[in-house]
Amino acid sequence: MSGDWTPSLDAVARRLAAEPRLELWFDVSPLFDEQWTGIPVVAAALARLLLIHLPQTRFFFETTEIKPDFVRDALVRDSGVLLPAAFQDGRANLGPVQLDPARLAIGLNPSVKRVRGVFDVECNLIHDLSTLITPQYHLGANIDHHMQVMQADLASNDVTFCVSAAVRDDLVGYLALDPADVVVAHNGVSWPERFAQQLWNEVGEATVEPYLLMLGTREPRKNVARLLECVERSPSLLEHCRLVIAGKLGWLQSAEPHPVLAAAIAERRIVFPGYVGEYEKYRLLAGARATVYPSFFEGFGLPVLESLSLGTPCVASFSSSLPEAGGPACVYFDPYSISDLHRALRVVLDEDEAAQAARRQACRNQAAAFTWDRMLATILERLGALSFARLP
Amino acid sequence: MTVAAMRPTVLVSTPTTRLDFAACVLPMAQHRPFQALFGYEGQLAAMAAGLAAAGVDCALLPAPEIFGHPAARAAIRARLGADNPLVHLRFGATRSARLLKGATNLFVAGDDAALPPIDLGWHPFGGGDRLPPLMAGVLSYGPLHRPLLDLAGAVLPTTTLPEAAASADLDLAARPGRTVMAGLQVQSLAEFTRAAWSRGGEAGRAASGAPAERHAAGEPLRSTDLHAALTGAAPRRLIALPWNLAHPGGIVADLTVKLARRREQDAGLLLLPFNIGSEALDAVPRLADHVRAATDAPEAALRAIFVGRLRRPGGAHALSRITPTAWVDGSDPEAGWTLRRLERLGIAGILVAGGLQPLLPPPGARAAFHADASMQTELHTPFGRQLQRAATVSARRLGALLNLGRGLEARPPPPPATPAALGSAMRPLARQLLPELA
Repeated sequence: MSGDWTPSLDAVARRLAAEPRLELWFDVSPLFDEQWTGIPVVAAALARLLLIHLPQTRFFFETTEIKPDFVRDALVRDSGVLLPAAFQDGRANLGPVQLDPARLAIGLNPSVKRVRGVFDVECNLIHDLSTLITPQYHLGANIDHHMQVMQADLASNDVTFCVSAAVRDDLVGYLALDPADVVVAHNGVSWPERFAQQLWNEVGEATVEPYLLMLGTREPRKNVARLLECVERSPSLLEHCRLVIAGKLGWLQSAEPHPVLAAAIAERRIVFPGYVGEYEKYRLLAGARATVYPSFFEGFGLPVLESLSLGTPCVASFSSSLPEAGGPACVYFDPYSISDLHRALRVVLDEDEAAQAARRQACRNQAAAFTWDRMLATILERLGALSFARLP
Repeated sequence: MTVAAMRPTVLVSTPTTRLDFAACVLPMAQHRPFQALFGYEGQLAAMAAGLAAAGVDCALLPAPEIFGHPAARAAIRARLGADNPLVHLRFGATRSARLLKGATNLFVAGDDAALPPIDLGWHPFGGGDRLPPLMAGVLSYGPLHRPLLDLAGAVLPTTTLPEAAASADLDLAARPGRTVMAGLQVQSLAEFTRAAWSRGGEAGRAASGAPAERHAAGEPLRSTDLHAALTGAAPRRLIALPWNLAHPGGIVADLTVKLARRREQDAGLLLLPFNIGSEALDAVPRLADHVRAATDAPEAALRAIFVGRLRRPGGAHALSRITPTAWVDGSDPEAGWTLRRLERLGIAGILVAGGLQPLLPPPGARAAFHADASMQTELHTPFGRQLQRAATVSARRLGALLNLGRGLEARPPPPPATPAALGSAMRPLARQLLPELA
């Protein structure tokens, strides 16, 4: 990130807001998920900022305009649990998307497009090319869906945004996109201010039993099996630290834990709390001795950044985009090698207090470079440049 | 030392769904193919052996696509012990082509003549003739009937590989007079257990209890079914039938069921599946179900059909002792390469193919058999809907195919090339890959 120049979000938003011949439309379909992880978290962060900095932004789902109040309500809840029903019965709807012919309409899709060719300037945000490059980690129906929409999305884009240089390189290397038409807009990280206070109220200065944390949907791509095998081969890790593996159960993954680890699970040295909400995630991240992210493939690696933002050291695989998110703050390991994972864990766990403090600071420094403001500013800057050039 | 003066390192990869590799980059000695004889695993082994003979060592990179960050490449280089430029050779179907970013990527084409789809869908590589734009060129085992293109439609520079590149592993592993088929794992369809095959290696052998090499060495077979088939009161002739599991529109299942239904039970099959993914292995129990459903005496039929694989090439030359002939599916995009491998082992390959013109045995085939029936399979794949057509043999012509095989005997395999000869044959390719060798 260092060396990249991004204008301030305020400045970019002001320029766009001052041009009455432009209107921005934001696709809220990712917010319709009940549990927000990954893409919905990104979409929510962008929607929050748009409501603040470009309050005239209009929201849509497919071909229907959505009332901003319903978007705000979902953002407050950190969940889209009420949106689908409100959309179905029409309470959330302002009616069909109707574009003013006197204005240039920009359609910003934070994920795959549900409609194409509607807006004068169109773009979407590509989070990864996993279904193309690592289809073995996905269900057939999911691959079919993405293959069908991705090409059409890219072909109908005026510019394509992606969450990391790794994704940009994949778009260029596999799909021959012109690098000039692909803009990297890194994900950001932020937490509601109330979380810190709430955590202090609950925990204060009490000592927390050390634990290692892994966050993420349990699916083969996340490589949980290697982490469990590492613990199985080095049970001494569990003598000093518990292992918490948080996240909903995904696909292509047995619901049953590894039988060899059954004893550790029975003794609660390994804990699977399932899906955790935003505050629970914050609390787990803040209290962890370190986080582990052994994934085989990611488009960005938001949990890595979330960990670093709270000064919690992260041990991550050096696959795909993870070194880009983690920078020099993370300790990296080979995602195939149990011994290398063990080495990396020991690096973090064996650090003395001074080294721990230095690493915590390095973590925060790394995370500070990634903000949602910066992401949205990057996106709006490019969209503005494209749109201004097309105004009569 | 400048980067240009450093000796590049050649990394090789194949499509795989396995996650059980011990490291991101491995020495070739740790290459553990499911089927060393055929398919992209065999092609990789042959290429690596040939390059080694020319003085170029390769390393196995199971998942090049996930190591795109400079930090990952630095870690790979550190494991290789040198800060070298990297050359990546990719094997397998074009649709599975993957890149190692920051390296020179070349695609090694082992198949040809993929059948046209009927509905491509949106997949950018659905047509089977396109490669990612960062693929610098193509190395081909033979002439390609249609050129491979980049996404923009430009023909990629293509180099035809020397003959030695197709069989160097077999040549270097050959031991004249050797009769033991080390590494051969055989189970009848009646015995087949998916778990044993998934485990592979010695575990699979223990589960099968059927090392056929003992028979070739004069020892009693531990597989009851294979022992009975080869040495029973009415010994059966075994015909090898290479089976490309990545080509689901082929005729192997059709021929197997037809043979199982024949009244005369004088021949059995040794199916040799290759290009085995974890999902593709389900094809074996599915075939067993077809045989059960199609025959009057299913258990007897299942005991005469075997599934085999060779984990390492050391004993390959002794395979002709139990299967002197092989049928090769002419619709298989890898038929040409498979025939060349069979020829190198002394096994008489019979190409089963259709068409209006009289068939001439292609290079590597001892004979060609004119298929008189046709079949088509509609496939729904991530690459679109495909209609694969294949020429097969009708039940009434199956006897003629069996008779053709009776007239062909296994020949002693041609003398293996010496390491020096292989090195000299492969050196031009090595120079092309690694110009500083010149």
